[in-house]
Amino acid sequence: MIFEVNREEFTRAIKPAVEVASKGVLKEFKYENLLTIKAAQDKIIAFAYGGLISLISPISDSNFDPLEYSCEEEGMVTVYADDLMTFVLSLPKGYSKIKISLDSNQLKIESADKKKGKKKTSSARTMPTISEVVHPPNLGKIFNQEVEVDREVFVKGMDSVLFAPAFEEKMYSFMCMLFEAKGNTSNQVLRFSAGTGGRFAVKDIKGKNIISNKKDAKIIFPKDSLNIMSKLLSESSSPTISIKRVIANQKDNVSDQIMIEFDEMVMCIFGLEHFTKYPDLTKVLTHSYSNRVYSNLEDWKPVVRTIEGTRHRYNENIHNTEIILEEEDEVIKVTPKTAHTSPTYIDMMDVDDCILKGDKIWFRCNSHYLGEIVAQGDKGRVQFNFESQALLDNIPKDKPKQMKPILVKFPEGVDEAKDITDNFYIFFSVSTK
Amino acid sequence: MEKVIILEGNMVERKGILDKIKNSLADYELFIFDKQDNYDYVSQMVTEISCFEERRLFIIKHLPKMDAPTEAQSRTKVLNHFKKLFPVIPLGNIVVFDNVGLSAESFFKEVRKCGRVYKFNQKISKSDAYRVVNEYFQKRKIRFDREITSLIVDSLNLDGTDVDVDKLYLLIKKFYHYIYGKTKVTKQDVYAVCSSSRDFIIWTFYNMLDENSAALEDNKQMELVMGLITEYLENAKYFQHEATMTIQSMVWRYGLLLMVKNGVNNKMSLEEISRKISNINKLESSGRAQRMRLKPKMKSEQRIPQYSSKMIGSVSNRNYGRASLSCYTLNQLLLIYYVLVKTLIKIRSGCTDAEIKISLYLIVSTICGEITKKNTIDGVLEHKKVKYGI
Repeated sequence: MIFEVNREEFTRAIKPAVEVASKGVLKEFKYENLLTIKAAQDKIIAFAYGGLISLISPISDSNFDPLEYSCEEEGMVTVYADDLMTFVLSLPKGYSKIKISLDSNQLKIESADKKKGKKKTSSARTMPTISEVVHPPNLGKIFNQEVEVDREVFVKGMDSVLFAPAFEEKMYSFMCMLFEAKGNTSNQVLRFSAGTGGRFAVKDIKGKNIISNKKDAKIIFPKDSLNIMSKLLSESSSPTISIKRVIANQKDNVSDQIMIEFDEMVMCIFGLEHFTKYPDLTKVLTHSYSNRVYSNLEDWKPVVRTIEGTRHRYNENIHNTEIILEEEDEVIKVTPKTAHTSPTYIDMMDVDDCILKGDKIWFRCNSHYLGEIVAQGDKGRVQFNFESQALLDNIPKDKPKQMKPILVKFPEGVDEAKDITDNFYIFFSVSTK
Repeated sequence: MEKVIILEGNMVERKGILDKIKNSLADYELFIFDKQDNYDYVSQMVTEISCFEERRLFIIKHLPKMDAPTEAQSRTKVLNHFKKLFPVIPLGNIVVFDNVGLSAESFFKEVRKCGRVYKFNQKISKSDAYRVVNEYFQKRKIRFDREITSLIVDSLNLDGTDVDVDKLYLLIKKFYHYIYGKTKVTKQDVYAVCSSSRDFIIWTFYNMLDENSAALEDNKQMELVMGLITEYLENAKYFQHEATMTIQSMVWRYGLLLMVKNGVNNKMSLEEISRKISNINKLESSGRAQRMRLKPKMKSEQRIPQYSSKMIGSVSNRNYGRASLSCYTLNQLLLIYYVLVKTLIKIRSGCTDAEIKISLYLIVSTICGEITKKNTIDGVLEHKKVKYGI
């Protein structure tokens, strides 16, 4: 196997495969950190598979220009992914074009630039090769959902809820992100939702041309795949990406998978068996709440810092905060339920638009949720929608005490260049502790 | 509406209550806590109301952790915190303590204010166990002798008067799966399934050996006896250790038979024999290697006899079929004792598993009267490995 490529473009081209091979890989998986490179006359194909994600990445002048690819001898080799990246990056800066060849079970990387003459031999890098060949699982051919979306919009939406999936193994069914697309309308919508079971984050992005094939989709992505997906897609140059849901097919030996196509690459996500259903979040988002209060996100920052300051470092890692609406003074009273209680106050904003019903209007929630609200931005008008927790006392003793979660709506974002608007919501449960 | 439930005791009844709770909640969110969880997290979760207006079921399999100098103090601290937490758990959330080992009445009192405490027996009497076995198989239209029912129950606790309910149900299920489709259920089926209980196997083994020893040539079932013991040993964690222990217990038992038989042959009364044998003390060792010393084992400043009077009486009384004593001659018992001691020495000096199995076969053959000459025993046990290809 002997081929020549532009070094800079080759580095960019193999990066996604290196990421898939070396990050978020199942422990002690047989292809962990392995990358198989197949050199053909017209292109190179890189194969990576870490147990949860696979990537088949054709690399040619058509998708990575100027790759300046030329193949002297076809062949295939498997190397350690991170070593390959390190060696390519470690070559002297002057090497614009490199020659990669297989020389007695060693992969040799050297300068292909003829001007360098004698020096190229001395600066060549050689690395060991592996006899194992990376075989990603079979790709599905029949899809039950297929949607083509704007790449930038997709990455933006996904990044907004990356913090939100559950982090505890016992909440495994929430260790995922729900992606919904509604393309068959004049105002297309992409919705990204993730949550822990007690707190959820939802990002809605509306636009006219964000779903190219005007199809609907509802796909659950496992949490393990989100970071790599976000990284690879954000570095891609493709304007759109195609997302396909493949159902397992024993006959063709195809397992349950999500296929994402971008830059002529095919990324497959596996391990979807546990993610079969997700709660209907629309019921919360469209609920007509009795109380609505506006406040400035900026004002919440010092308050959240105070809450953190009041807790005992070791005994109150998880604690609640009580929020009481004092209508007459037009303030929100925030009192952490910690040993060193210290109430703080936040002014209500746009009081005329606020709706408050009842004498005692309050709720109590995990203080951590308030911290997550503050982490979503620096300033802007946030809207708290809620039912007063005092209403729980009115529920008869033989009925379960149930109430809608607290819904926080963030200011609407507008991207005129892309002609899209986005809305972000966080909702969370109340606590009786 | 109950919001805290305590389940303690046998698994079968606990599972039954848990299933009832689950069935009563149409849709619910399920949370299971174990020893990895800390109290902060658990208390937060159980007091949160579902975002989707669903019921929430929390199953606590192990009490959560809390910072304290010792584990016992941590447990007390957690229980005290739970007592204060119960009133604020919202109705609709159900917290189940599933066999976490609670017994404090003060805790139960707090639970009863907002829920229920279920305590189930872990053990039942053998007569109840017979009823359970019979009912289980009658429901499935399988009938067998009372002797088989007794064997099944005895395999769980040979000498005792009660059995563990969970073990009984698991054994019944295992036995049912084993005999599924069979038209006739035999004692051998019980031996095959219950081969994990050492006492049961050893005593069954003795009974079978006695029967075989006394049986006529055509009726001997040595393969069955060997099958019982090898199946037990192969399922044991340490084959060699278990084989040694088995042979040691045989040395003890046949030693007793030998002494009683000798006394009977010398026209001694059973009382006299019993008195003489009772003088033999049980020994216990202390120290290691060359410093090991043996001295009489004591209990409440009294020496413990090697053979209890009940045990001495058992060899001369009928158990199943003939009395053990009448199954062997003195010469036969001398030979059996010889083969047992010799085998034990051989195993301790280093043996492969295959060699141990051959030695066991030799023992069984000797007890059953198939081998009657000392030379045969010596020939097999003192062979050269190369010569016999083992």
